[in-house]
Amino acid sequence: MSIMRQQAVPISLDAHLNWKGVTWRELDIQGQVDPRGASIPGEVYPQEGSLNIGGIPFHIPASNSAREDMVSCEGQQIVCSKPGQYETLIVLGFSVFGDYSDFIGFSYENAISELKPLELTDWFQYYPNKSALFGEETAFEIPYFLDEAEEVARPVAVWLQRIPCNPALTLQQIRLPDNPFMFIVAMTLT
Amino acid sequence: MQQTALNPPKRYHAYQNILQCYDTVIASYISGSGLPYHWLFSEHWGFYYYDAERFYYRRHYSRYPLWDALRKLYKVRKTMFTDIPLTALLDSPRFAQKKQMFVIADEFDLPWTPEYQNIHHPHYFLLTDYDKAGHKVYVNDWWPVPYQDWLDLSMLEASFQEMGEHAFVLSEPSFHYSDALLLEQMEVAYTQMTGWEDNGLSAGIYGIRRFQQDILRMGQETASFIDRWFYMVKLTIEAKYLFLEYVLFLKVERGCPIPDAFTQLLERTINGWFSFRNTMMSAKIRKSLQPDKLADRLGKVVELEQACAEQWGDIMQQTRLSVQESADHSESGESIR
Repeated sequence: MSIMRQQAVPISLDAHLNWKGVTWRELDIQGQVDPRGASIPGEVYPQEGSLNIGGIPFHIPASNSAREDMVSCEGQQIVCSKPGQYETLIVLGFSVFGDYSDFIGFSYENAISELKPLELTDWFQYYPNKSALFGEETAFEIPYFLDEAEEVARPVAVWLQRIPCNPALTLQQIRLPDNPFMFIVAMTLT
Repeated sequence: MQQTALNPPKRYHAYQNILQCYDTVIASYISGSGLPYHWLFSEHWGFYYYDAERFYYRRHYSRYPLWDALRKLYKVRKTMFTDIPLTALLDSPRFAQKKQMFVIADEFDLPWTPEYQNIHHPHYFLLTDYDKAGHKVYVNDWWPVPYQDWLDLSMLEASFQEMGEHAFVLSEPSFHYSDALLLEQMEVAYTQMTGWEDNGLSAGIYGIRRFQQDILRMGQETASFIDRWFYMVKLTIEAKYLFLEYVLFLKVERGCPIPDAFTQLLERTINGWFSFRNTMMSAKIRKSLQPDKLADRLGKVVELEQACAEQWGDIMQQTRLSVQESADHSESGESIR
């Protein structure tokens, strides 16, 4: 049975959310993404649901509860809900306390697997006239971040990174790197 | 040495932040004298473990290792200036003659840096000219954003003062390559990788294993060390990146028999250290420290470090044979003549 090439398929990360990064001050919900206590203000973060960036749909998890709202990479194995032939995995994410070039694993049918670089620049490396270090696009800017409850008027960014898959093979699972300071907020296969 | 504008140092790794401001400005100075700078990082793969409060990538954990390499390999002397106003330093006959002053200033006040008016952070760069009448200095800076231009001195004075009025000058570097030096530095790195134990110091793989045992022994007490370890491991990782840059230099410029698989292994090892460091800190943030999980991460680092040492040993052996072969050819050539 041949499997048709899939359209863009947002991956649900709900079962893998393990980090609370978004703060809602008025709801007394505290997130934290780095050792210094920095977090993302909920009021400038995309709301739960579909987010379209350059025609690509992503599913953003809910952030306005105490529940985790992003994935800290710890080698998780993500099973594709729609196995298929894809050209690219598109990741929305960022790193903290470093720029990391690690590996993401793709498992295809017939026990074929491959490792591809997953590179995410530190979210602090966002400057108006400077590209991200690994060629990522800016998915969205966060105009200020929170240091505990204080606003710091220093823009940071969530990046959009593209990782090529093998479009001749049916992708079944994705294995994340083992670096907890690489954060993924959404992923879509195209 | 008359240098109004220097060039940025040549880099072999694609990662733009592999050299930071301090490394970059020193590397540029060495390059400006027509010398290769990468030997500065030829002893940066070490790990020296004394106890849970003291480990580093150099035996002398209280001293910045670049200075040892500058002295030993480039015969450079450093002269420090502290608590002297910038204008006094620039007015000195020394500056008029040498046109060289390394300064430390606060990025917060430096308009070309990304953290201008954002974050207070020390930043190193080089001044190579002074226009007293125009009240301007010529700035050479390459990281994180290149800037080579005249700057109004008044913009720099407060920033220099903010960081404690620290400046220094370096003597003219000299460096003479020889195959013996190459082999000697390869041997030093190999010894740093494999390690040893001596009088309370555990170096290289011995040191990482002892660190691992201490984590298991201390259990939850480990939590009180995490902030310190996070910083110390950060320095260790930065040093390893610089060694990787040196290895790429040896491969490209000296033709050393270094396979891509080895540089990839170095990168995987660096990632292993990142994994350990960030697992440690994320556990602290989440209040979910599991010392055995942490020790397990370090166990993976040990495996990677062992593989690095084995492959580096092979590369060193091949280089030694290749050097011997060239020497033999050269000798037989002479005898024919």
